Amino acid sequence: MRPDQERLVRTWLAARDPGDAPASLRAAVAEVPFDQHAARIPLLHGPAVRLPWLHVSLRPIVLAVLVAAALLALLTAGILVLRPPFPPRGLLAYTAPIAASGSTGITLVAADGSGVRQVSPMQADLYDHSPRWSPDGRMLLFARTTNLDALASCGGVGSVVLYDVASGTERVVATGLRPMNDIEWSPSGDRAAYVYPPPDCGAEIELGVVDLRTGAVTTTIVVPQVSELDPSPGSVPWHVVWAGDVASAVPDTIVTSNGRDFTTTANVASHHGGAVVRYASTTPERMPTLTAIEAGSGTQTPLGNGGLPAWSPDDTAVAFIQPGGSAGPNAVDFLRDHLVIATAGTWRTRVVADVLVPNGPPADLTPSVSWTPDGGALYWTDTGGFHVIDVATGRSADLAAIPPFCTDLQWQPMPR
Amino acid sequence: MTGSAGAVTAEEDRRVAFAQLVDRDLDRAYRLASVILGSGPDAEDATHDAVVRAWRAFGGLRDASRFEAWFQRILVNVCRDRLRKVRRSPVTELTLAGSDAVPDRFKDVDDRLALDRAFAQLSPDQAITVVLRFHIDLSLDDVAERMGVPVGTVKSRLHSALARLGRGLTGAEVIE
Repeated sequence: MRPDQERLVRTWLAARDPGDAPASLRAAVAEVPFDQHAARIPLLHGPAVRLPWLHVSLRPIVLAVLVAAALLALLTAGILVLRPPFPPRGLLAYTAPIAASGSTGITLVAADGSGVRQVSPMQADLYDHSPRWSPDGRMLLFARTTNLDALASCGGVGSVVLYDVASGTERVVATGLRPMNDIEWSPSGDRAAYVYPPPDCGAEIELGVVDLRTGAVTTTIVVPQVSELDPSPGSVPWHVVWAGDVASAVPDTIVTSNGRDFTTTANVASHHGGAVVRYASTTPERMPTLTAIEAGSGTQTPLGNGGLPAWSPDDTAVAFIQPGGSAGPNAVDFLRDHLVIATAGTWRTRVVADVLVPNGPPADLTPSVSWTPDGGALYWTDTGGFHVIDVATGRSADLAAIPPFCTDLQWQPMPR
Repeated sequence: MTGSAGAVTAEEDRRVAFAQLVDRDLDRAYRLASVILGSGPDAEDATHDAVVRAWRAFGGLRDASRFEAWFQRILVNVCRDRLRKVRRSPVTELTLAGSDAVPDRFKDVDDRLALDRAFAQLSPDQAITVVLRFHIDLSLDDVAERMGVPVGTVKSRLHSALARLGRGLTGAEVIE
């Protein structure tokens, strides 16, 4: 379409705009919350547990059953003692809007919902985001943007901040930088790397590496490969990946087009580079597919449909939510999806639990999950709030203290 | 007794908060529905339906600063449902008598009629995508968020919708 034709479309659309709502509509909708009742909050369901019924008729059989039950109880007690607690211990860090200042900030909350603590100062025009725990769980690293230009998404001043969880004090490691989209610890924990620009900016990509002891910053301009360029208007955000001691900038997704359809691809690599799970979503209206690809042999194994996958901390498994179907007549507002784990290597999948996710407005996207640092549980947020599921048992819990629209949710590794 | 009174107060506060948020965003919602549906009465019905749905789901919205985007998404879904129902019904297209034989001197009328026809031929999802992108100037990411689809899907819909509208306009220019 030519620019003059695009102008014509805009003018034509504007001509269909009738202006403000009529008084009759305004009066009708004003009554709605006083005539209707709000719906319930979404729930999660784990697998049903049923106790066996035992029929006692003969003494030897009863005796054998009692002995077996005692052994089973001992075994179960041992597992319970050795098994990690649920929900796992540790603090959760997340980014959410701060109503008092109009900015976004970082909040800490214990996994049991207690001890909510605001990390970011209550200050207008100060936006903290991308909280990242240090490997020992004692420090929180995050990015800060100030002096934001409301009319330009590229504007603002970026800073790298370290927050000491024990003392509750922050240290601005480096400032006067470009505003960041993502920031990550180096594996050694002595440096951090960040990537510019923020979303919707469209400027050239800059990778910065910050020495967390001295605050010295080294920046590099990243030239995207042809395969990483977006075939249509709009820019894909980039994030930081550390491989050993080297940081690099990687696009969140790659969009390709055959002239008619557009395919969005994300390659989710294991931490040690042994394999990749490729997420691909091709329009129009096809379910996203997942494919496991071995790094050495290039062998590809289809894993079926699913949302964005997540590798376990030890790289032995991949978790994702597989679209299911209707949740039945008693839960018409929900879909019954499956939380699935695929074992790396064999790529056999098993369903950990069925999960009910909101259907239709306000959310109908398949959620993506994250692992807790101990690998014992999986968690995610949707419009119903925050949910966590125990991998071994399928047991689930919801954390009401975490708002459903928070981002950057990060579970603290337990301090040693 | 105290707990019960507290619960009633909280519920009342929630109703008032919802009414205030809807009142604030109602004009924008009605105008968006009008542009998508092209009919004032339909837009009124759709907006009212969206408000009812939003109130039913309001318990799940804990961040009021996200209300506008959240409500727009509900409204878009309502409009999509309405467009699907309308376009399943047979429509007889009206043509201007003699328009094939006598070139119309008013180019803008040709363009408007051509766009009316071309827009009516778009799928509901394509039509809504065009309105969100070119009328209220949402970014591609925001359009994707409002429609609950990946960005790639938005690009594909825009690509095919604009091609169809462009072909419609080119047809109009032939008359000139």
